[in-house]
Amino acid sequence: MSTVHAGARALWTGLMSPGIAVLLLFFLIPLVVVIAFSFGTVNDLNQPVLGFSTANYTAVFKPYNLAPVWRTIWFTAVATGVCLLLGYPVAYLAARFAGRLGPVIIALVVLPWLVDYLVRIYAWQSILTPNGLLPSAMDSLGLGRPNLAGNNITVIIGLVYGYLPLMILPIYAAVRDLPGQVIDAGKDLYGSPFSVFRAVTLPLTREGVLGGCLLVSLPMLGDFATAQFLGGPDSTMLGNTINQQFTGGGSQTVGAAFTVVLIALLALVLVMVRVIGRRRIGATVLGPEQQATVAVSG
Amino acid sequence: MSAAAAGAAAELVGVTKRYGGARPAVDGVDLRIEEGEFFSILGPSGCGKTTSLRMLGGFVRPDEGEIRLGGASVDGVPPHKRNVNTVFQSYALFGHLSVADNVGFGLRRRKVRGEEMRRRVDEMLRVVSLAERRGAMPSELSGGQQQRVALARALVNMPELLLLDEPLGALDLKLRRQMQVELKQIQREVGIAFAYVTHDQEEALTMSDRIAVMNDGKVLQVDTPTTIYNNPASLFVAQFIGSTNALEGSGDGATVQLACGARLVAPAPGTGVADGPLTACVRPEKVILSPAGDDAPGAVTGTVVESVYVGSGTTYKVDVNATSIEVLEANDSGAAAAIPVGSRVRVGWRPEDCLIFDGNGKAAGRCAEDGTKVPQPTRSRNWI
Amino acid sequence: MSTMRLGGRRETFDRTWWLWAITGAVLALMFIPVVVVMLYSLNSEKSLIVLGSLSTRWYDKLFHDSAMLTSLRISVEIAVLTALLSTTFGTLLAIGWQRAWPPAANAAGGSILLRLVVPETAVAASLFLLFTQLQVVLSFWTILAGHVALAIAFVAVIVRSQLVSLNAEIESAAQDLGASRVGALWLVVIPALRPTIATAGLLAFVLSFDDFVTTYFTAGVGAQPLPLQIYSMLRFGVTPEANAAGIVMLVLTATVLTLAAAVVLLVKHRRRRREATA
Repeated sequence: MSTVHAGARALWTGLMSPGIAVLLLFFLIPLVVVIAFSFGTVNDLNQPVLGFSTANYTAVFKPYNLAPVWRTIWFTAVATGVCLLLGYPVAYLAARFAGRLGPVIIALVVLPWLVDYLVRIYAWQSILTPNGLLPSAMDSLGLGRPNLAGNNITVIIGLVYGYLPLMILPIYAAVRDLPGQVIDAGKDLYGSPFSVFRAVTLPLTREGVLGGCLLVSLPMLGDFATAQFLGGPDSTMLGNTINQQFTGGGSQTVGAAFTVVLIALLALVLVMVRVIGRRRIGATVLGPEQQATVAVSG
Repeated sequence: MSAAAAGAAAELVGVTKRYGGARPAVDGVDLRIEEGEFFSILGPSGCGKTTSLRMLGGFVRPDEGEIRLGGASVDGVPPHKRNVNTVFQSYALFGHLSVADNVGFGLRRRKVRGEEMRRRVDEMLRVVSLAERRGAMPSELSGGQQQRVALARALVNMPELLLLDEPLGALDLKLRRQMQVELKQIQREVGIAFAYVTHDQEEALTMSDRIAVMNDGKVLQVDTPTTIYNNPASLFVAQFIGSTNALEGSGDGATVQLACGARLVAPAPGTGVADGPLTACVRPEKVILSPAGDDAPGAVTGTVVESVYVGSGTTYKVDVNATSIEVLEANDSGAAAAIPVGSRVRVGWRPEDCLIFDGNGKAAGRCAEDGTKVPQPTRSRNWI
Repeated sequence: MSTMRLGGRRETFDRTWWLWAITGAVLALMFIPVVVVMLYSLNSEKSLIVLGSLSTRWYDKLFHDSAMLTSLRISVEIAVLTALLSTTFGTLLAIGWQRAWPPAANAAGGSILLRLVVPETAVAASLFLLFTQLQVVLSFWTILAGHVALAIAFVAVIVRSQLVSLNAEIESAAQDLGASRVGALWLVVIPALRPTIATAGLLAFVLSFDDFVTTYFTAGVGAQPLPLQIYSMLRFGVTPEANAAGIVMLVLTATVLTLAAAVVLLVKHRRRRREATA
C-alpha cells in the first residue's frame, strides 16, 4: 500500500548487508570456486591449480566413478518413495483422525532427531550386523544368523529412517489445512474411499507431498555418513566419493567435478518438481470440479 | 489560494499523484479542511480518496502540488513529524501492547511520561468508554472496542487533524450505525478536525459537516450533505449519492423531451442551457404516482412491473415507454394499499425536483415551473 | 471394498485401523534405534552383543573424559554464537528481502532459497576447497562461518513468512504516532515477530549443535565439536561412550527446548500480570 520512499529502500538494503556478506563469502563464492576448480588440474604436490581442463569430468564419467552416482540416484528415488508411502498415512492420521493425539504423534516422530544422527545410524548397524540384535534373535529362533548390514537395502533403510520426519511435516501441514467438508463432499460424489482419496485428498495435498519429496530427496543426494556406516564397499554414494576426493587423499579437482555433479542432480530434482508443479497449477485453473473429474478419469 | 487563510486545518493545493498507471491516482486536487469540522472524502474504490488521505498523513508524497497543515507546507515531512494522526482501516493495534500502552504509544514518542501520560491516557479511554479495559490486550477486545482503542490512540495526541480511513468498514451493520453516532459525538467533544474517507454515501451523509465527492482522481463537489444531496453538481454525484432515475433526453433550449415521453420546460429558457442531449434526474421519493385516466395533456403513463415492500415504504418499478422508473412511496398514510403489479399509473414530479444535466454530466439547473398542474399524490386508489 | 457392503460408505472411509497400524510401525522404526542406544549406554559391558547389568559407567567415563567435555563446550559455544548471529542477520535479511531495492531483494531471496536446496555436502565441500585455497586455517571460526551461512537461510525464510502475513498498517501506525522508520521497526515490527524470531533462533541452535556434514568439512585438527568427536569414536569402535554421548545430546537439546518454552510462558505470564496491575 504505502509508497516506498527511496531513503527507506536504501535503509532496508543496507540492513541486509551483513547477511548478504555471509551468504556471499561462505556460500556463493565457494560454489563459484568449486565450479572453477572442477575445470582445474593438480600440480606435483597434488594441490589444485586453476585451468581449463575437462579431465576431471572425464574421470567422473569412468564407469568405476559413475557407479556411485547412479546408486545415489536410485537410492534417493527408492528411499523418497518409501518415505512417501510410510509418511503420508502417518501425516494423514495425525492431521485428520488422531484429534489431540495428532501433535503428539508429530512430536514423537521428531523427537529421535535430537539424538545425534551418527549415533542413531550406528544403532542400526548394531541391530543388523551378524552379531547384532536382529540376527541373534533370528538365530535363537533357528532361522540362522544372516548378515543384514553392509548392503544396498540397509543403506536405503538408513536413508528412510534419517529423513522420514521431513516427509511427514509438510504433508501433515497440508492435510491439516484441508477443510473437512471437502472430503465429506468427495464422499458424497465418489463413494469409495480410494477414489475419494485419489480425486480429492491427494490433489489437494499435492503441495505438501511435493514439498516433502523435495525436503527428503535433496539432503539424501549428498548424504555420506549413512552409506559409510551402514553400507558395504559396493553401496557407496556420491557423498562418499566427494568426501574421499577432498579429505581422503583423492584429487580435489575431481572432488570439485563430483560436487558439480551433485549440484546438477539437485537441479534435476528441482526441474522435476517444477514440471509436476506446473501440471498441478494447470489443474487448479480448471476449477475443483473439473480437476476432480480429470483426476478420476486420469 | 496563495496564502493559507486562518482556520484551515489542512489544505491540498493542486495535488497530483501518479503510480505509473495511465491516469493519475489523484489529479490536481484542491481541498480545504476547516478547523474542527467533520470532513468526509467520499467516492467509489480507486477514486483517489485513500491516496489523498495518505498524502495528508505523509505516507505518500505528491508528485505535484502542495500539502499544508495548519497553514504551513509539509513537503518532505515524514509521518512521524506531522501533527496528524490516523485511524487505520484495520485499526493496526499493536498486539504486543495493552490497551493503555497502545493509547500511550504516541505520547511516549513525544516524551510525555509518567503521571501526565497516565492522566491523558485515562482521560481519552474515558472518552471512548474503555476505561475498564485499559489493561486488556487487543486480542481480547471485540471489533467495536478495538476500533475505539484505535480512535483513542490517535486522538490522545491532540492532532490538528485526524485521518480516518474507512474505519467502520470491518464492523457489522448494527455496530457501524452505533459507531457512526459515537464518532460524531466524540468529534464534537474533542473539537478536532476529522478527515474521514469512506465509500459509503449514507455514512458520509449522516456524519459529515462537509463532503468532498471524488471520482477518477478528481474532486467533483465539496459541499454540505444537504447541498450534495439536493444540488449535485454533476450527474456522477447525483447517481452516487442516494439513488436517482437518470432519464435520457434532449433539449432545444426551451423544452426538454425525454425518451420516456415526458416533456419538460428547460431551466432558464433562452440562456442556452439544456440545448442538445441531456439527462434528467428525479429521485425515487420525488416521483408521484396517480391513477391513470385523469389525463392531463402531456401526462406520462406507465405500467407497474415490480413492487417491493421495504418496511418504511414501498418501491415500485414503473415501465414508461420502455424506460424503467423507480418510485419510493412512504407508508405514511398507513391505510394505503400497495399498487398492484400491472396497474396503469400516471407518473409525474414537481419541476423543481427534476435536475437537468448537460451532455457532459454538468448540472444545468432545475426544470422551470411550466404552469401545468402537478399531479397530486392521491390516495383514492382506483388502480386499473 | 468388500467391507463396504457390511459397514456402509462413511464407516468404511473412516475406518482407520490400518492408518494406526502404519503409524505404530513408523513410530517403532523411529524409536528402536533410540531405545537400543539408550540400552547400550546403560550396559555394563563394552560389547554391543552381550547385555550385562545396568550401569552408569559409560556416563562416568564420559564426564571424566576431558576431550569429550571440551567437545561439548565447543559445540555449545558454536551453537549459541550461530543462533545469535544467524537470528540477527537472518531477520535483517528477511526484512530486506521483503522491502529492499528490488534487485537487491531478489538477489538476496534467490541466494537464500538456493542455500536451502543445495545439498549440504556440496556447500561444505566447496567451503573446504575455498578455505584450503586461501590457506585459512580450519578452526572454531571456520566452523562458525559454515554454520551461520547454513542457519541464516532457515531463519530468513521463517521470519519472512511471518513478516509477509503481518499487518503492514501497524508499521504505518507507529510512524503516524511519532516513531521513525527504524523506531517503528524496533518498537512494533520486531515485537510482533518476537515469537517467530525466537523459534528461528532455537532452530538455528539445534541445527548447529547437531550438524555433522558442515562441521566435518570445516573443522581443523585440534579440539572438535561433539558430532565430530562422536564420529571418530564410532569409527574407532568406542561405541558405548558414543552412545552415552548421544543420549547426553538428546537430554541437552531437549532441555534447551523445554527451557525455551518455559521462558516464553513465563514472560507471557509476567507481562499479563504487569499489565493487569498497570
